[in-house]
Amino acid sequence: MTSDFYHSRILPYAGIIIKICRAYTANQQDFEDYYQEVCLQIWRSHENFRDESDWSTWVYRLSLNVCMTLFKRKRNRYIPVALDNETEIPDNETHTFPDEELNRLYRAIRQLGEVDKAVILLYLEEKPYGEIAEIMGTNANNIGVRIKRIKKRLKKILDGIEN
Amino acid sequence: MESKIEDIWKKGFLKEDALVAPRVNDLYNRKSLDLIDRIKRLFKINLLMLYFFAAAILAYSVLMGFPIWLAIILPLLFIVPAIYSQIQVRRHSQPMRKYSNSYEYLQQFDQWLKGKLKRNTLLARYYYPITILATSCMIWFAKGREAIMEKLLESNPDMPLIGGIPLYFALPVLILVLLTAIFGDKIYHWDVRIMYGKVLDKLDELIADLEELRN
Repeated sequence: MTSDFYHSRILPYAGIIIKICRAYTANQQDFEDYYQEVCLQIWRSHENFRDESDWSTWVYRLSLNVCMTLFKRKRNRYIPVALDNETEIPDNETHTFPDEELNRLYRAIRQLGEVDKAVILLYLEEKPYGEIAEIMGTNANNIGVRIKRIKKRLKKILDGIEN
Repeated sequence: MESKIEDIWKKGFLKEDALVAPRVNDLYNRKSLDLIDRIKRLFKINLLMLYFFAAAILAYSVLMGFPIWLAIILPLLFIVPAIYSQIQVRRHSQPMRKYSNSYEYLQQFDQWLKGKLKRNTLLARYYYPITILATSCMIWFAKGREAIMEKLLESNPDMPLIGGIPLYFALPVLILVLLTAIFGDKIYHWDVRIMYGKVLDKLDELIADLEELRN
């Protein structure tokens, strides 16, 4: 990766990458590993980028794919029992945002299943349903229903954290 | 929960320091290793292709009943460059930890690669003409050649022959041999670009980048 490439093609989108990586990691060490892996993958695959979608959409998709893959790999390594959609991993959080409410929200997001996690992150980033569906490779009609369900679940988790 | 999640999200990221990108300390080392691995993977694919073609052409030579000398030479055209490349790669294989940083590692690899390409460019001037000659022999000794020759001589009884070979066949072969001898270096560079072009550009890019970071 040229430093020019890093500064022009990655750094302006670092916010996206950080937001996604934080949702899949609970400590600073993992977060940095995920961030580096995403940057490396963007550099490796940027030649495959076609102008059919925005660069930012492509970065979202790639970041989510990398994080989901790393997350699965880690889960399989440490938790031999197959888990269902909900991934209750111990949240021994060692990195935080300056805003406490945001930290609580992230703690709740981390408890979601990996696909739900990705969908809600895209929703919170105000991506249109069509784009979320495109990134997730699913039908746009299902997205609205799914988001409603995830928000309900998030509220339940957040209420639990609060109490 | 008092606030909506959308509001928490927006408000949380308004704060300064909410989105601080981590330092990418190890990224260049990893990129360097990744790039060299990719080049080495391509070498391996290239070698496998050469061995595959050698085996295929040997089988073809046996099936077609080529003379023994030709059945030996044809596979050797693929095996010799494969073994030569393999020896070169084995001699070079140095782990990154032997170098103080990824810049030195890449520089050294780049120099080695350029040296290898230079040597191969010289050899290409001989390799391509020999390949053309061997391929022509393959065509010449193919089954049914006698029948074709008979028909040709029937329709063109005054067809010029050189040592029993029609001039119309020998002349294009000779021209091709000459052309590949003259332009062997260019053909080789073109060949290398097709297989390794992208990764070689990336190698140059990465070295330029590391140089820029050092200055």
